[in-house]
Amino acid sequence: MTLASRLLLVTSVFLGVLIASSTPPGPASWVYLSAIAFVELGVIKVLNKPGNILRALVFICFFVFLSLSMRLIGIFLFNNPLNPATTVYATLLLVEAFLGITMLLQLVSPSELVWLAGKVGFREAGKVLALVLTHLSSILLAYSEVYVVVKLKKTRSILALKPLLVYTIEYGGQINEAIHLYGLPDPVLGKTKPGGRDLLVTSMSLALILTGILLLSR
Amino acid sequence: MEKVLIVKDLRVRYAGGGWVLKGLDFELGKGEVVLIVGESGSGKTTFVRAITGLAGRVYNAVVEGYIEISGKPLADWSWEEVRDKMGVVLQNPRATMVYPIVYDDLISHAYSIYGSASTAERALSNITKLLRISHLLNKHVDQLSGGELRRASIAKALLSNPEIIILDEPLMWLDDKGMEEVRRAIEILKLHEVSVVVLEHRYKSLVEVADRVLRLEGGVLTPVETPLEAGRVSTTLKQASTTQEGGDPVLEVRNVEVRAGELVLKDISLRVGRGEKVVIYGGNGSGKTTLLRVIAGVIKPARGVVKRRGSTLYVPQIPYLYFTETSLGDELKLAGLPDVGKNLAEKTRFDLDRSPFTLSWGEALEFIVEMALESKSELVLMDEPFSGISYTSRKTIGERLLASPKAVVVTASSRENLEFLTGFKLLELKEGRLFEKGLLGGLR
Repeated sequence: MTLASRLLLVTSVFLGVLIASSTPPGPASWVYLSAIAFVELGVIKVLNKPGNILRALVFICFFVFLSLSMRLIGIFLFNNPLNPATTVYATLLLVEAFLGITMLLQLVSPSELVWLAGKVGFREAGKVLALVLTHLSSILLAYSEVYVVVKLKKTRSILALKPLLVYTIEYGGQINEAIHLYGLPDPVLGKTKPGGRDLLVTSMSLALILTGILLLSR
Repeated sequence: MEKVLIVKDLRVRYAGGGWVLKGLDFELGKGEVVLIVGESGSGKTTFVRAITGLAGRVYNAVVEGYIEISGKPLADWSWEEVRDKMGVVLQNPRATMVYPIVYDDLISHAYSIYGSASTAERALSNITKLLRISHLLNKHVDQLSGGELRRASIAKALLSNPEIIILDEPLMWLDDKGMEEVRRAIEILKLHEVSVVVLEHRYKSLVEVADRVLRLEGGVLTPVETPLEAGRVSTTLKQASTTQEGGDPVLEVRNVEVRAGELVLKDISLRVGRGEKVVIYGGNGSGKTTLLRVIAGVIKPARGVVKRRGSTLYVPQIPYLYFTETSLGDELKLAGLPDVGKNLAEKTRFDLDRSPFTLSWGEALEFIVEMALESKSELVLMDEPFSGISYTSRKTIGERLLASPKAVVVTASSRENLEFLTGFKLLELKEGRLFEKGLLGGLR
């Protein structure tokens, strides 16, 4: 699939969320919300195994649950009037926005993100982002090792900041050395010819945007 | 033989430290493969940094002496020219990756060298065919095994068509398969007359490939006169004549099943008695670390039971990740050993006021092993304790573990390391299952 089709798909989802957020909950907006979710989950399902989708949803729902709890506490403490329909609607919108970010990161590769960042004048920041995305899992793995150690040691330094800090600095030093040796090159994007999938994705994206505009104009 | 690298009277010291290299001489001929062996902390990486110019540029080190690359002094080459003449594969090859997809990373580097998409594509195609890594191009860096990552890194170093390739500890953390892949890659380089310098303390599988072997010791290089023990790792295990008597169980794992992403461990059962020594052997990605975490109680199994009696101590693959305190003395206190400190300081050579983060890799591991064996923990879990240390240190640590009254469970990804665990009960982790293989009596 071409980068343009993938970007159009992601843009249509974010535009959809934006349109839905400016519309009060009603039968049409609930249907539109479902349409966005259908597109998002459909795309993520094509790219992943069902287990991964479930895990992603659980992760997102955890944060949504936290924010909901805080809101409920706020209502309890400050006697804030709460409309249940609006709260659920806003919560679902939040979940869909997160799913949109997940889609973006899965559909657009880090080198494409750097290329895009370069187009809007943030090339160097984009490269740093690519570096972070490349090395994050390695650092997280080391952090999980420290977690095992700390749990068994029953140390007072619960966060075990020292080994994490030392490791991160050491790892950063290695990357610095590598950048001196190999530089921080610009991404090179391969050329992809548009195919049947592009037609399908473009139609779907345009349909989503048009439905949203029609909904908003009511 | 035409010389591509000449080093004379090289002396290097870092700010505030003593001389690490003390008048080192070295010559590398065209197409020659030189293996440099040396203990951990002997200055192998400093040597790499010095001849590539990194020591001064990145580490602000004082570098004295004469370095000549392809007939011209190092100072007469521009930094970009040095980078093109000399390809370096770092100890941690992952650090060289800017983009997470192998193809994206290699093609962007090739383009930065050649400035033309078609030439970059051609250069990449040639290199990937040469190293037989075309099947890795569309993979994410997290999907690569240690050996594959190392080969991708060698490909990156080769893209500028350098005269010299330097491999800094290329076998670190590799399992038997990975070691074989790297050895084969060096053979291919040799066949194409690329000059290669390999710095490695895990040298056994590389001795046959090397034209010369040098030892880095006391800051200088000396030729190795007596032939080093060479040979590929054996696949047959010799049974020990003695049997290991396990006392009351300190660990019982019954019918455990674990699912962690793609990894599935099935029907794992294991009993470790007081004082018993066990080694879990398996390739990279076989699930050894996950199993240790299940034993440690950090990962809850989907099915089955894990029972530990008494406290447990876990030593990660990277020993520095063990330390949480500001001094070695505080580490001992935390382990419940305030009184042992003096004995340990006398027995080893550790100043207890010293920060653990200033220890070398070998020293850190030695300290942790000594502390673990003195601690009140009944069970000691060690994840790949032999990575990053010399054969001599492996032997010492293996003997110390065997002689200890503690129950010890270690993991190993290379059969080469089993040689140092004579007397341990061997379990092989393969395709998610654990197979008992008897007591280790060394390899034949």
